[in-house]
Amino acid sequence: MLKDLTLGQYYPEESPIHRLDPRVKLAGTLVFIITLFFGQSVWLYLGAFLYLLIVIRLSRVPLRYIVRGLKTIVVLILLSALFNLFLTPGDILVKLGPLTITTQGLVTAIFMVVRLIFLIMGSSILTLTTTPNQLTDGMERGLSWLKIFRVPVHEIAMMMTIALRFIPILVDETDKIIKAQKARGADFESGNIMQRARAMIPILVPLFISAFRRANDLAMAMEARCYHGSEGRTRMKPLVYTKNDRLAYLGLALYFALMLAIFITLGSRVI
Amino acid sequence: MPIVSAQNLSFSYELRDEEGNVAEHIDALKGVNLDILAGSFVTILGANGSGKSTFAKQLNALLVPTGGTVFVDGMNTADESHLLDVRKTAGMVFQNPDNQMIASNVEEEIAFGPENLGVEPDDIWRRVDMALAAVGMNAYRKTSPNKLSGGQKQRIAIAGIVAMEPKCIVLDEPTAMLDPGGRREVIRTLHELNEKRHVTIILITHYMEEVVDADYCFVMHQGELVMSGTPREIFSDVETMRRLSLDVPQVTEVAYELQQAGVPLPDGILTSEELTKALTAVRDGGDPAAAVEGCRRAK
Amino acid sequence: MIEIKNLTYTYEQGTGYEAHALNGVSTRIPDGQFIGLIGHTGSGKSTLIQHLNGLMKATTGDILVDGTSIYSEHYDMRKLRSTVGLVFQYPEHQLFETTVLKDVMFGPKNLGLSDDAAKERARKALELTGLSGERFENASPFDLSGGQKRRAAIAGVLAMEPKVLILDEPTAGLDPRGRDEILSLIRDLHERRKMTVILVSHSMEDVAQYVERIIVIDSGKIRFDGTPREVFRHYRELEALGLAAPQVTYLMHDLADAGFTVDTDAITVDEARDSILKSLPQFRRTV
Repeated sequence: MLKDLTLGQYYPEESPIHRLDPRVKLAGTLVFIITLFFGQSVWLYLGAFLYLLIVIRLSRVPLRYIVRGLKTIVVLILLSALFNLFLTPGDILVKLGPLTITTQGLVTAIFMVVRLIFLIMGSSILTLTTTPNQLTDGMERGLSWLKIFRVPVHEIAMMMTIALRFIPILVDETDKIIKAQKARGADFESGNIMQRARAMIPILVPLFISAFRRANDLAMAMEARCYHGSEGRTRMKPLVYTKNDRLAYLGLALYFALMLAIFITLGSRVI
Repeated sequence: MPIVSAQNLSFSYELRDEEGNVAEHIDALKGVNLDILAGSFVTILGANGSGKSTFAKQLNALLVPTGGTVFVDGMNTADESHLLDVRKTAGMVFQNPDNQMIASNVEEEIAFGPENLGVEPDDIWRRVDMALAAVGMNAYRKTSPNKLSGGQKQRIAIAGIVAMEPKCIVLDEPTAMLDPGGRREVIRTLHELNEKRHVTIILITHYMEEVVDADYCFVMHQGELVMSGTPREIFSDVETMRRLSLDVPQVTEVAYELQQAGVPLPDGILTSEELTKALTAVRDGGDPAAAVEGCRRAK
Repeated sequence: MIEIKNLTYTYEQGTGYEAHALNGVSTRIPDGQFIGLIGHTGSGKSTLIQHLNGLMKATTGDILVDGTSIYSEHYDMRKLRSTVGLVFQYPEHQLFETTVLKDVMFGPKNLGLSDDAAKERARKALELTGLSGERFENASPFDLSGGQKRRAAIAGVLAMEPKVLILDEPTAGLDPRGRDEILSLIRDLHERRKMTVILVSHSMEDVAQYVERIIVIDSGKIRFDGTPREVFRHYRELEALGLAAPQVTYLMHDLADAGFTVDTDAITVDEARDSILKSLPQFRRTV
């Protein structure tokens, strides 16, 4: 069920990470992801691991809460590991019938798993410690320079805000419609793909209609509350950098420099 | 000066078929004339399709008249240069509380209106505090709207309007989707806003018991204003109300039935207390009309 | 007959956040009864009715429909859903077909009926709900008025010809006329078609006027169960549960306090009128 998704759901806590400016956290996440793609080196990953460990400790989000979120994508991780394990050409390590495992495959698979886990953990720290509104605020302010290229940054951020608010409502609604059609004897579980696809119509049509009705209502409610785009709009919580934010930027720069140094020194060596 | 004044207000629109030709011409409002006094608590009654929602949208300039004029606090709603001022003066709350909330937490939700008006951050905080207090939802300021009950959501929607410091709030069937408890919460909140903060309340509803405590009441039917008066005057005419397929409060209905059976009761009995006093007078050989009058004056 | 035996439903079982939506509900619903189910939002009434046609499965306890447990192996859920019809809140939100007739046929066709048989049933159901004739059959359900949409959606459940009809707040959001139309339709189904009806409602006045038995549910438990007169006698306790009694109940109690010998169990306008007239010596003859 979609509702069991703990991955990236905001975790309320008063921690130094929670208090950081969302722009810092967005930058941090971006830098972390970039460094994960520097290469396959144990040292690089050790650096990333340390970074992750420090950030998680500072955020006061329990580790098991983050790990539980990983459960939802276990299949994805396993699949990519298996593909790498069996499909990477190189020196043969083991032969299992038609399948072969190569040394390179094993190494790539291990790095792939670690990279994916780090990637998910790193980005879920962002959403775990930042409310959706702060996140969209951060994007709007942090990306405002894109306006030069006529990118409608404010509108995109507003769309994200609304989407985040309406996802749980539409999930609920879908659940209700499924039940209502089941009560009319609808069967969503049997039949071939075509039959199943057809069986979705009684869910999708009411769902679309409901989404349009809600969108219409919301547009009217926003207009009634004097919404008229970003022009002349102020914020209740304007984003202002504090000393901690500057310190965080400094730490981030140091981390990036360190990782870059490792990458340049080691090149493509694994150890 | 009235806060809202509709003068010969008409509104019509065209329904088009699939080819884009005009298929039907619909007159949603036909020459409505009414004034609403500042600081009053007014209700608008009418069956579905009577034009009452269309009327509500006129007050917020979400729709503008196709004939006649609407003045909100002296401003002509058709004048686009007053658009934001009109909306700021007459705030609007809709039926479905879920579909009018934008933010993922209560205080940011309430701040949305003032932010749109370009209010300075310090003042937004003050307004949010004030609005939360006005609807009695202080304890929920960090909560997600999805975790609130229907009545609470609707109170937050009202707070979102209160934070814009309007002179008038228009509510289009705000209790239609609530249970009796939620309905009571919302109506109590509206009366408090009216009494303590002198906000003019214009409440559109199907529930007759929400009308009883109002100062004034308008009844609409097929786009026209057909009755207006105090709730007592409106509910005195049980037959007309029935003909317009509207209800009267149960107590009024009992009094009407008793009247039909020959009991000498005055028209427009609204509360259990009034009916009890009147019947006591009938039993003891007193004057029932005077008893009801005494009861009203005591209030 | 439906027998509910010690039904319990627990949310989020096995995590820290266990909550009982139903907590040991037992009752019997004999054939042909008209029952009002009341309780505030979140009391468990919606959960209970979803159990009755198998949309939710109890954590513990059992439901017997005509003597057979719906949780027994190989129990035909589709047959259950055609026996116990469930009309959800705002049922018009589930309409999806291009014409009213096709939409009403959806249920019967899911039961495996042929096109012709389904059409016949759909026509019959539309007639019951007052939407018969070409004009309605071929109209898009989305072009109907609010009250008509709702009746079309109810027809969609009636076309499955259930013995038991459960309606979750069928009058929510309708104006007084729309409300009266739906309620008299339901009364008709009960009286003339001998259907068992369970009406979930927030309106005490409606419940008092129409049903023969009221079940009050709170915190997942049945708190009161009896005739409307019996249940509304507990109006003080009902208030504590966030519910109320019909306005007439309060009037009758006020009158009794003022020394009138009236029937404090009167719950409808007609009963109140008759009882008051009887208590006034000079009007006794007119009753």
